[in-house]
Amino acid sequence: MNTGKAVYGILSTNSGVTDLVSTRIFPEIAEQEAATPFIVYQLQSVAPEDTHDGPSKLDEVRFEFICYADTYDQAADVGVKVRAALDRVSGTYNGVNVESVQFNDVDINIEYDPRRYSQVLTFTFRIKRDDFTIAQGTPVTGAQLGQLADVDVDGVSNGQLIAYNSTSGNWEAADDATGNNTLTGLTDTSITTPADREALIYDSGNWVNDNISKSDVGLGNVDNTSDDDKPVSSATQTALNAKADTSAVPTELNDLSDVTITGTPAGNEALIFDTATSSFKSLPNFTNRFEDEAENNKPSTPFSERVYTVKADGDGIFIDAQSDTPTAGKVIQRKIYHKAGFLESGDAIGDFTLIHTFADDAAYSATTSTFEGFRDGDTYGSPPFTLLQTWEEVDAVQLLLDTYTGAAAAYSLRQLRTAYTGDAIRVRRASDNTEQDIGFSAGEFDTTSLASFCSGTDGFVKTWYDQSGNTNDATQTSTSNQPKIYDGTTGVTTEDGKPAIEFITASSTDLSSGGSLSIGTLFTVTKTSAGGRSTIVGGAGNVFLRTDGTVIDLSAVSALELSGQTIGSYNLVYGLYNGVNSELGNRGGTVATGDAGDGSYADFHIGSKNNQNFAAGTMQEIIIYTSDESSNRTGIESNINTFYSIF
Amino acid sequence: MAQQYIIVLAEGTLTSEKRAKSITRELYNITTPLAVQEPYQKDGTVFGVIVHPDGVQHALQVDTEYVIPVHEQATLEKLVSLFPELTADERFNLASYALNSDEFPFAAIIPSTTTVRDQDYMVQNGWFEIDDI
Repeated sequence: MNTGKAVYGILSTNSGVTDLVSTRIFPEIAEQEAATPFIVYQLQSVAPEDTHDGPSKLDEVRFEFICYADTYDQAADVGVKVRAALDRVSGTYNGVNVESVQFNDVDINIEYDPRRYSQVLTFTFRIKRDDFTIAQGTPVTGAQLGQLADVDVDGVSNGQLIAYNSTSGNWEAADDATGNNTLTGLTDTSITTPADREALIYDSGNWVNDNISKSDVGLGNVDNTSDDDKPVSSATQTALNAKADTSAVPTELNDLSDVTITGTPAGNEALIFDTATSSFKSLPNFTNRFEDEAENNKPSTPFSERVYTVKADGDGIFIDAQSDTPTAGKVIQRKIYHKAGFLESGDAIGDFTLIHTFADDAAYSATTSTFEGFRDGDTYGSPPFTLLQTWEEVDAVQLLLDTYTGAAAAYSLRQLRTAYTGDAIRVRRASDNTEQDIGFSAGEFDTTSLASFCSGTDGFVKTWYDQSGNTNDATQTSTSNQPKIYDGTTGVTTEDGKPAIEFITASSTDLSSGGSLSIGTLFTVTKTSAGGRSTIVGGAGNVFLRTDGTVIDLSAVSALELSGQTIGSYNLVYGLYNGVNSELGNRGGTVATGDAGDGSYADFHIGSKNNQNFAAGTMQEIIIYTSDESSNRTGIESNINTFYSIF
Repeated sequence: MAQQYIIVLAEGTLTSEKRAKSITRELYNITTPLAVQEPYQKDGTVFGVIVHPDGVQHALQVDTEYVIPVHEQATLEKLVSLFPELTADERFNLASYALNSDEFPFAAIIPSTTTVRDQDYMVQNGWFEIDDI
C-alpha cells in the first residue's frame, strides 16, 4: 500500500503543517525522543471497491493522524492544519492517484510520562488504481522503453534517435545514424591541412582548400593603391588638361590687371578709365561727368596737362600727360594753379592762383601725389574748385657756375649751379640750439623756411655749404662765433633786400672749411660795416682778402691794395692771385695790379684769419677758382651784379 | 667792441685745454641739456678755444654780451665744478642765478676771480703773432 507516500507527500509540502512540525511527520510510530509537536499517521483499513470483471480500481483507505504536542492548544492547532491540508484534496502525489480525501472524525487524548496531548484525526482516502498499478503494484517502477509492444530498440547505439516506422507500426532506430560529420570525409572534397584564411574553391570536380588570388575573383587588374594615390585615367587626364586653372582665372573685377578698385566701392560708383594710369578706377558715377568741360574750357596757355574741376553736380577730369624729356636748351616746368570755382568757358591762367611749382624737369609721375594732395586737402579741395597742372618748356636757366664752371668753392645765398641739389646754409636757432638746413626756392634763398624755423628767436649760420661740388663747406661749431642770418625781432638779415650773413667782430664770428684752398681768382659780395681790419677770407699767416672799409687788401706775400673805398659800401670784389701780375678790383671798376703772390690758403676761413681780424659786416657770396678767371671777370661780375644790383 | 678772451688756467688734474673745452661745452648744455640733445649737438660749444703758441695755455674766445638761454632741464653742477677756486657760496650763487633765469648774458656768470682780456693783451702776451701787413 502506497497511500502513505501520498499522505507524506501532501503533509510535508504543506507550509501550514511544516510551520508547526517541520519534517517531524512519521508513519506508524514516532522517532525515539522526537521533539514536539509531531505527527504520526497510521493505516487503519483498506476497503477495495469490488467489480465483476477484474481487479478493483478504487480503494478506500482509512488513516488515523495523531498530532502530539505538549499543550492542548498546540495539539489542536496541529490538528487544524492537518485537516486543512488533507480534507477534500485530489491529484497524484508521489505517484499515487488520489481521487479524494474525506475527513471522518477527531478526538483528543492526554498521555502521561511524559505528559502530552494528542489530537487524533481520521480520514478516508479514495485511491484510484490503473492497469500499471494493478499489474506492477503501485506505482509502476523499473519498466523500460523496449518492453513496450510498439517499440523496437534493437541495435540502437549511443546518441541514436528512434523514429516511427509506419510500415511496421513500431518506433525503431533511425537510419544512418553513423554518417560523416567532417568536411574532409565528403567524397567531393580534397582538403589538405588548411592554413588560416584559406577558402574552399571548386576545382575540376572537387572542392579544394587554397588562398584566393585577385584573378580568382575576376579582379586581376586591381592593385592595392589607396584612394588618395589612385591615378586618373588617360582620358580623364586629357579632359583635365583642357580645363582652365580656376585659381588663375579672374573671378572679380579687381583681379583684372587694368582695373584698380580701391577699398570697398560705395554704392553707385562707376568704373572710369584713367589715362594717367591707363587703367580703370572705381569712382563715383558723378566722376568725370563734365569731362568735356574740363578739356574744352581749360586755359589754352600754358598747356594744362591735368585738370580737375568739381562742383555739386559732379566733376570733370582731363589728363594728357606731356613729355618728361626737355628739348635741348630747355627745361620743363610744371606748376599747379587753383581757382575757387568750376572751370568756365573763357577762363585764362590769370584767373588762377599759382600754388605750387615743381622742380625743373620734374617727371609727370612725380607730380601726381602733390596734385592729388591739393585735390583731397582742405585748403584747395573745398568744392567748387578747379586745379590745373600746367606744362611748358622754357629756356634753361644758366646759373653762374653753369656758365663759368670749375669753381673750387662757392658760397652763396642764391643757387649758383643748376645741378646743385644741396642747401644753402645750416642754421642754428638760439632758443634751443636746434639746427636745420635751409635751401632755395626758385633759385633764391628760402627765407620762408628760415622764418618758419627761427620764428621768435635769432638764427645763426653753422655751415655755409659749398655749391661747387668740392664739399669745402665752411662751418663754425661754437655758437657764439656763428654769424647771424635771422633776428628774432626784425627777421631775415638782408643787404639791399637780399638775404645776407652778418659777421660780428665782437663775437669773433667766422666759418672754416677746415682745410686748405689754393685760390687763383675770387669774387666776393660783402658790405663792411665798420673800420678796422675786417677779413673777408683768410688763411694761415698773412694770406687774406680784407678791408678796413677804405682800403681793400689782397695779400699772400705783400699787400696789393685798392684804396678809395667807403665804409658801408656794397662791394663786389674781384681778386686774382697771379704773382707780380695779381689784380684787385671792386664794383666792376678800377683794377690795382701788383704782386700779391699766390693764394695758398692754409686753414681757410671766411670772416677771419689766424683767429684775428674778424669781419664786421655782411657777406652774400664768395666764389673761388683755382684758375685765372680774369678773362671771365666781366661775365661773372655781370651775373653777380644782375642779381645783387651792386653797382 | 673788440674781441674778448678768458685765459683758462689748469686746475688740479684738469689741463688748461681740457678745462677750457669743458667750460664751453657745459655752457652749451645749459641751453641744450644732454638729455634732449640730437646727435648733431653732441659736440656743440658756445665759445671758441684758442691755443697759445706755447701749446699749453688755452683761452676762451668769449663775447660777454652773448646771451645763453636756459633749458628747463639744465643743471650747472658740472659747470661750477670746473671752478674749484670759487667758494661754495660763489658757486651756489652762480648756479642759482643761471637756473632762475630764462636766459642770461655770459657776463653775469663770469666768476670774480676771472679776468676778461682784450686783443691787445693777448697780442702783447704772445697769443697772436703781430699782423705785419
